Amino acid sequence: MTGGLGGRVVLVTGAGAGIGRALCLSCAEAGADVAVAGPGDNAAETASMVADRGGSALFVRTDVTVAGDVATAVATAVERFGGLDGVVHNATSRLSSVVAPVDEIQPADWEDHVAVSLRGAYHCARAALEHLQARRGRFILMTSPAGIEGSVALPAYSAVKGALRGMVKSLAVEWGPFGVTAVCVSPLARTPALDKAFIENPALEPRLRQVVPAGRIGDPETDIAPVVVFLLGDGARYISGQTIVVDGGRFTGL
Amino acid sequence: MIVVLAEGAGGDETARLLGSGLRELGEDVVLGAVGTSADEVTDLLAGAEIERGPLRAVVLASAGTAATAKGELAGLDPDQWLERVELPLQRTLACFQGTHRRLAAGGGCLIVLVPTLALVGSSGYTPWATVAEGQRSLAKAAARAWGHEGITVNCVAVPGALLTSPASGGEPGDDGPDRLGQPSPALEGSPDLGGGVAPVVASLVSGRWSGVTGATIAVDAGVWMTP
Repeated sequence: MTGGLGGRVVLVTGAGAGIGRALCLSCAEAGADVAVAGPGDNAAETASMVADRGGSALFVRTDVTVAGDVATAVATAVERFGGLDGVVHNATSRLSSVVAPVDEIQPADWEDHVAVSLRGAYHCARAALEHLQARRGRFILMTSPAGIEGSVALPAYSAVKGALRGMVKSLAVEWGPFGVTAVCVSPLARTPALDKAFIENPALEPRLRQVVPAGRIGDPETDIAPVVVFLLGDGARYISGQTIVVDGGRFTGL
Repeated sequence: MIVVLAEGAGGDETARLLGSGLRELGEDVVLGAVGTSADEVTDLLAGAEIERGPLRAVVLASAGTAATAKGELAGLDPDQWLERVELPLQRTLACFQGTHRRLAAGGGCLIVLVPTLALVGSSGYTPWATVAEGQRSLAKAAARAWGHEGITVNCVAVPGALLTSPASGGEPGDDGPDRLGQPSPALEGSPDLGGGVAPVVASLVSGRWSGVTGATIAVDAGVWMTP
């Protein structure tokens, strides 16, 4: 397969569903060898789906909150595919779409958000830097509109997604001399988490459609993943430190 | 009355200098330590109100000095990560939750000092930038949630040196030679906590900025001019 990522190795966390799964499918479609990282069997299903489409994928059971798991995932990808060109940290807490105003954030829930999004990113950075440096690679963190604008309903999610943007801006400066770029992507896409939110609040979907100039909510595979594939490819080698907003024109404030 | 919170309370130089500047402007200021529990913050604020009168504003001057230490992200060990990123964010949440309990009835201001380096990125300060951008995002969320209660939540971005070693000018942070390509300040001189930042904080809590919330106001002599 050739589609811009031929010969490259990409590791995707949170690869069991939604955007993570779409990223794996699209990266493989573009020619990459994909390390499919996730804590559950659905990530193994993603790897099977990639294989069914003729792509190259390796499932690595990975809980990003555990440093050893991430280190093993990176090492396994490097051993199997010969290196590492890109990491996409997409994993996010299972509580991401659970409504909890600031006052109602419980310590355990806050810990879960921090552990998956932030500590997971730190684990990825530590484990991958050496390998990314060797191949002038890419480090991509998936953020959210909530991490740019704040969210009344999801403030803990807002905080960690905003924090990731701070991490990327400084990593871009820190890792630039090594030839490694760091970028955030802020998608608005139909995901299992969003579907769940729509079920809990039926008014949300039409309201959201109304405020997206494109008039629809993005599709993970056809709207979001192509941008991430581009960011992993040659054409994006001079893009770093940015938050790339992929939301049908909803947010225009940067 | 304005309460200035920092990890180290009165021992924190940033809080002390900001507090002095606010007092010189006629404000009644109490310095306090921010812990990792909202109850601690609520108790501290309640005690200050009993002693000094109604609470008008809380300023989070520092959620943890460890966050400001220089060190590359990939080089941090897990304990350093915890101390420099997770605990400061936890203190920030405690500050927000504890402050809201005291301001919910009568309104007021919550202000968070952040380094401008978080807005633009800085090599060696990724942990600090991570914390600060998390704080800004949480501030926006809280601003949206609490606006109808007459509570404003804003950030004031200042040169990192003011938050590391404010009296001496400190480590370079975001305004020194380690940040290649840094623009020149538009204004002559550089702000200090007492003369430059305190007047902005005092103005924010004066009621004249009641229409401003969720914002980040840079007090950096016009260096970065971020959107």
